[in-house]
Amino acid sequence: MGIYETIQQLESMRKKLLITNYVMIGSFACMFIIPLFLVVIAPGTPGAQPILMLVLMVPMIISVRRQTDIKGKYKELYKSTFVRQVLQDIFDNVYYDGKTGFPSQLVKDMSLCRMGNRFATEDYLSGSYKGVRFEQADVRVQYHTSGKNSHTTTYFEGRMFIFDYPYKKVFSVQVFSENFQYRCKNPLEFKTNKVHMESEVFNREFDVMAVQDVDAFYVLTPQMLEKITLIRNRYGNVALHFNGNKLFVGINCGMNAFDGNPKRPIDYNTERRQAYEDGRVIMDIIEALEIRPAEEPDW
Amino acid sequence: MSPITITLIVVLAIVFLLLGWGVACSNGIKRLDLKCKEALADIDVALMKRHDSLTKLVDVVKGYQKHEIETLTQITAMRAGMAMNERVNVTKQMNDLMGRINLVAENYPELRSNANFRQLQTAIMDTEEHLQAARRLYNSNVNQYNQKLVVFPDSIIAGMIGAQQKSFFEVPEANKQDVKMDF
Repeated sequence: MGIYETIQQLESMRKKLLITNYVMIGSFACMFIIPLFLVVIAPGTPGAQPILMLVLMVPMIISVRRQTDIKGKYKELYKSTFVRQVLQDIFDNVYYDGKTGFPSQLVKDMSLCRMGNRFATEDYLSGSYKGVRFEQADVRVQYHTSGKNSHTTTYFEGRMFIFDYPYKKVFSVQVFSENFQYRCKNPLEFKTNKVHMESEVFNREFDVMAVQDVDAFYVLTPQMLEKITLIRNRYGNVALHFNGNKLFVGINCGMNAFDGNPKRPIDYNTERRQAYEDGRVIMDIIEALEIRPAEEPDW
Repeated sequence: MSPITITLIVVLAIVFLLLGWGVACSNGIKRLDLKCKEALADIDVALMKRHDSLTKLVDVVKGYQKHEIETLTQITAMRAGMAMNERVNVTKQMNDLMGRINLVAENYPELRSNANFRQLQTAIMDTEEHLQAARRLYNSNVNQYNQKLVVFPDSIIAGMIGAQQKSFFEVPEANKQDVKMDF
């Protein structure tokens, strides 16, 4: 199937998604409006109201099921058409799977955010850029309480990255931007101390936690402090964790990467640009933090 | 309850609060003092490592250039309990020595390609970074400690327990730059 046919197919799915959406909203509204009218017009027929509500529930349920089904197929086709191609153009050794992500144990070991009792992940991507190996996935971690006062707190929703960081091995140094609320405390069961860096501006905007204070000063050179501030200025809510020969980065942006917007008509160039922008974040972090491959010495 | 009892309770409460604050403040100063000592120990470890690596590097260089052995080995041995200015002096000597080794290596291509020489250079660069980290940590801790000693009302407790201001680990401007190893 050529690109034109694929776009046509995606466009048809997108329209179906919109129609099912309208049916859902319409049925939901009718479920309350029509019985209300019946009360006013025919007040003597109270038994008709629940029956009518049940009848109106049927198209709603069908729409929900149909939408879930189409949404899955739309996402899959969208990602294989636009995302995979763009990623292969900009990175080396690309492995991309839109359906899977990081295992929850790995996210826990990354020690960026608190772990709740609800976990969702997708868009696993691994590859290398300028010789630096990386992995990324969309991650959502929530804490849900059931019962009378049930509520859901989102601990993290955004993108997590793993970069090879071979030239400065340290034992757990975490950096959280001030607004990173649900942060992981005591990574890998070790007690950490709050480290006071020499830059007061940095101390106001970030919290640095480390098992050994000297490790924080070893990895967070004055230049690195500036680079981290740059990343925070670009992406807002960020957390970094230097551990062993890995650097873990979390961007808590509340959005998923590599997803098409079904509300907008498909345009080949726009979709490719969108996928490129999502991939560019990885290039941006590698370049901003000046992460280099293992072979190259540090000077 | 009689007014005397109430006054007594209030006075006792104030005394306990003051005592509690005094103990907390004194502990805070001692904790920072300990952190400074730990950071100083990190500096000593890094200096010691650097000294060892440099000594090994000098041995490698000796095999290529015997005339400069005497000048190359002019370096104060590290020992426990050194004063801050002695540490600074040793750091300066090490940097000077490294510069001289680099000059020698520039004239001996076979020395530059020696695997042992390159490995030792990498080790020295790594210890240099550890030394810088330890120095920054120490200076940051000293800064916090000194601030606590001069800010009122902590300065009262600092005076009572005889806490003294600490000096920073200052590296001479010329030695702050990384030793260049472009061969």
